Amino acid sequence: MSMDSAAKEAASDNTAQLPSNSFRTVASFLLFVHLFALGFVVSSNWGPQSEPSQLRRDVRGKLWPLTAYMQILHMDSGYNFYGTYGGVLDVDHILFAELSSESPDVPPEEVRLPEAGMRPGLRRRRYQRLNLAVASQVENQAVESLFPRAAADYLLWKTGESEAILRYRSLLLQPPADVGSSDMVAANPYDEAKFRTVYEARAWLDDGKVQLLKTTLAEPTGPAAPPSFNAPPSTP
Amino acid sequence: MLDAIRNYFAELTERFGNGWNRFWFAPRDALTLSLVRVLTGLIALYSHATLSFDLLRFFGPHGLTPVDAVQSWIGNRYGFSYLNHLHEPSELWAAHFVGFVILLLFTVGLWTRVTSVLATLVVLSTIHRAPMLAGEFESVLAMVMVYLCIGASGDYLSVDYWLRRRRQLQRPLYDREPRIRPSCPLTTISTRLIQVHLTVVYVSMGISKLDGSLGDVWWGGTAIWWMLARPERRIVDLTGWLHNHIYIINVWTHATVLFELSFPLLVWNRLARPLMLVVATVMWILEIIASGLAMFGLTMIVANLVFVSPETLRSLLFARSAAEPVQARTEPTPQMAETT
Repeated sequence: MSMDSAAKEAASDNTAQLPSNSFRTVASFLLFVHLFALGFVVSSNWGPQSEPSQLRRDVRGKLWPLTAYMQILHMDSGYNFYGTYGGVLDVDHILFAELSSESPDVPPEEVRLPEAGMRPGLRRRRYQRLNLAVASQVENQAVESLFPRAAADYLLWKTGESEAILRYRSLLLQPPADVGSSDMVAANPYDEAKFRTVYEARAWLDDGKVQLLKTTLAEPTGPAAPPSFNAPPSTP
Repeated sequence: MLDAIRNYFAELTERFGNGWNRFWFAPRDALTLSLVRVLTGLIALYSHATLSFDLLRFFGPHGLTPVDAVQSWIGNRYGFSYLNHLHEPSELWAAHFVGFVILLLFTVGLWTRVTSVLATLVVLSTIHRAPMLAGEFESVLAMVMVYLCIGASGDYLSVDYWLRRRRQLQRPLYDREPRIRPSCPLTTISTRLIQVHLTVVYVSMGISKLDGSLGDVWWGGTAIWWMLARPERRIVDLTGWLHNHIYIINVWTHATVLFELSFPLLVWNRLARPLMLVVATVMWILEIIASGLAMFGLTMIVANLVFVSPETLRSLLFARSAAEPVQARTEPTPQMAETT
């Protein structure tokens, strides 16, 4: 038997096990559409943390059925899971709230979300992502106060208090020199010096509805630049 | 000359067509997909269970993510969630419980064809209710769940399989079908889609780390330090030990990028595949330690299993029964019927 005939026989054996032609035609078409849509959304979502260009927005707008299809399947992603760039948003964000009643005798109640030591980790991560969502949209006036207002509503309703001060704070990371430092302030990952307030607002109840006023901070607002990897130990 | 060109293109298209058919449609045993179903189901169940602690806090009447705020936040984004239409605590708890039962049925493999679709609906609805709570883990989980709906993931390691076997054994001996090993082109399509999509995820992860315009921590070999140094996420605090061994951080960082870039190439090579899968498991365990994203790492390890062939898996899981002769087709041939 020649090589050609052997190859043809093997090919025909394979073909015998394959589904019908019509099935393969329809399935191939659907696969092509799906893979094209996947390639399209991955490439059009490229560029982490960056604003999409006008061209990208136009193309996505024109091919909206593909985008919609992938969004419904939660596949409209660039899958650029980079872990960290050591940037301002690659740190933990925590919501601190001071809740107070109308009575001046009662000390304010302090709440932290996620609560310290919250377990399991998947729960904690949901709160962190929500806080990150707020931190990433600071200065975007259309949406920056949406979730702080919801947080104020939840906390005031839950505790029965009438006023709250909300602070979304980022927790800066320790460079190696800080971890090895004999200075307790530098060595403490939760030291006050490592926190930066990225969003602050005062909330109160008015006729049962939450009113929210964003506070203009005296200090520079927004996330601070992260420390350098080779930075010397930070001093108090 | 023209004949040579014509022959070349004829052969090219024929070979491409044959390769395409073999890759996407050659019937495949569903054991691997079934194992992926069980493990993915367990992960989805766990994720759903952890939401029980905060269900009302996030989605309740005074929740942290009200529907109108979420809709304003995401803008014109498509996605269906039945949770958008439930507001009262009793409604939310009922839907949550039903979702839990569906995920449980999917995991144990009862009415898998139906429960796989319903389980995917549960997972996607939870994600679409508040997409800002979802991250890497949910993206990979949704991807695997969607593709598991296509294949016959309930053919093994399932209550469906056990019921089918029991029905067989209750029939008279002459009426029994031969012992069969189901194989189906839809299983191949499902497996291949997970493999291809997973490759895309790896490529994107690897290349995005090399985007120097956003930071040089991956190029500089320090990225793993900044992941380990996040006190709110880490599972184990290794910074106390590693701050004196920076070269380990450097090696770990560069090895992560190298692995993520080489995996999508080498995993398709039959010889390199077992090695890559072992390396992948080690790398993902290290990634879990570094990033604290345990569920993301575990889901990636489970998704990687689709690259293990059913034959290899059978020899690992059922060493004894693998030696027994089995037929590879679902349809009993006349010869089989005569034998029985």
